[in-house]
Amino acid sequence: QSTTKKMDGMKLSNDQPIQIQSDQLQIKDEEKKAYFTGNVQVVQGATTMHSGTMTVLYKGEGTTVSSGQTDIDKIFMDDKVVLTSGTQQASADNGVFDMASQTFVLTGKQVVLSDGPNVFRGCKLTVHMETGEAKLDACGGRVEIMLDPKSRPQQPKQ
Amino acid sequence: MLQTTTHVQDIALNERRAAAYRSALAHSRRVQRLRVLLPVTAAVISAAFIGVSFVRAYLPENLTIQSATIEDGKIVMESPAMAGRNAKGISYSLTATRALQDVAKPDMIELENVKAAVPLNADVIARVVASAGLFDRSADRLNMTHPFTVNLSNGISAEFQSAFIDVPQSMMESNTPVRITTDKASIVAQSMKMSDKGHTITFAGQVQVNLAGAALRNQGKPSPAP
Repeated sequence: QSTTKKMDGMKLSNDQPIQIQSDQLQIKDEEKKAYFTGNVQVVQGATTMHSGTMTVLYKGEGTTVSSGQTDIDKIFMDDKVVLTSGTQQASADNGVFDMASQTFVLTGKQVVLSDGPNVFRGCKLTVHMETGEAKLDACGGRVEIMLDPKSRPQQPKQ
Repeated sequence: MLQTTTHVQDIALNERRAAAYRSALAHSRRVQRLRVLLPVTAAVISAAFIGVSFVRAYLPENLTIQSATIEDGKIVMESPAMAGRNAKGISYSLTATRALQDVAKPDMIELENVKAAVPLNADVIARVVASAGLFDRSADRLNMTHPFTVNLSNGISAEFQSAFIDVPQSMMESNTPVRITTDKASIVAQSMKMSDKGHTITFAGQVQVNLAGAALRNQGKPSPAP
């Protein structure tokens, strides 16, 4: 059973610059991986992501991050992932960005999606980055939805 | 009558004797001078010879220098150039406008206006330009004490405040702020360590990576120039 929500903030457009901060970054050319470790923060436009570690898998034969022409294939985020965008926030244990399918999947014992005062809980959140559409699955359990009775559409507090 | 001719002969004889005497004097003076000059020139020649071999002995054999003078205990070499092959057989080169080598510490060579081409791996060569550097001959290691830039042959440029470069191992490490820029990305950190032939690069300390949008392009969608 799942609910679908519009999370336009979660769109990770691939044309906007991205800024990544962390305590350490190790680029391993031969594995075509870049390991960000230590309070990793990724910011693109209004979307911010935090996690303990983040591993970027890039593709391209022979091209390496050190050679500059790299295409990011997948991004793995682990160790408490929090994604915030405007009034919406999602938190989970880990997250995977798949550039090819333009999807971002958050998984964990408890994936919590909140939109302003409304809170949704499940175990898997799939966000389609191009549309911003987010699908929360309960994987067998029930999706818990706490709707704030007063949650009338009002100006999202910035 | 006889006397006058002997008289004339006497005069001639005297003159010849005087001339002989004078040339003998000149000769002995020459000999004297030579006796002093010869050992001195011998000493100078041997000193020069010793100097050159001294310099040659302390410099890596693959180093060529235009000229070497010795100034207050330091060998000053003009436009030294060193070339060789690194562990993988890829050639590296190191040139400077001047190199100063303290006679007391022959392994440390101070370099001015360094230009080095260090192969990071088979396909990437790092070109280093720096105002000063200290080359440790015993470890074949270049200590860059002043800010310098490195341009990689694959379009990446890096600015360092200081670092050291292990020339044969093609390894570079810096524990001062670093900035790496390519056309689509830039990385800033407090330190950087490059190892296993440049295939592993570790940045540490407030790492910040800026990726232009295009870096996320996939399936080659044409993206606007950043």
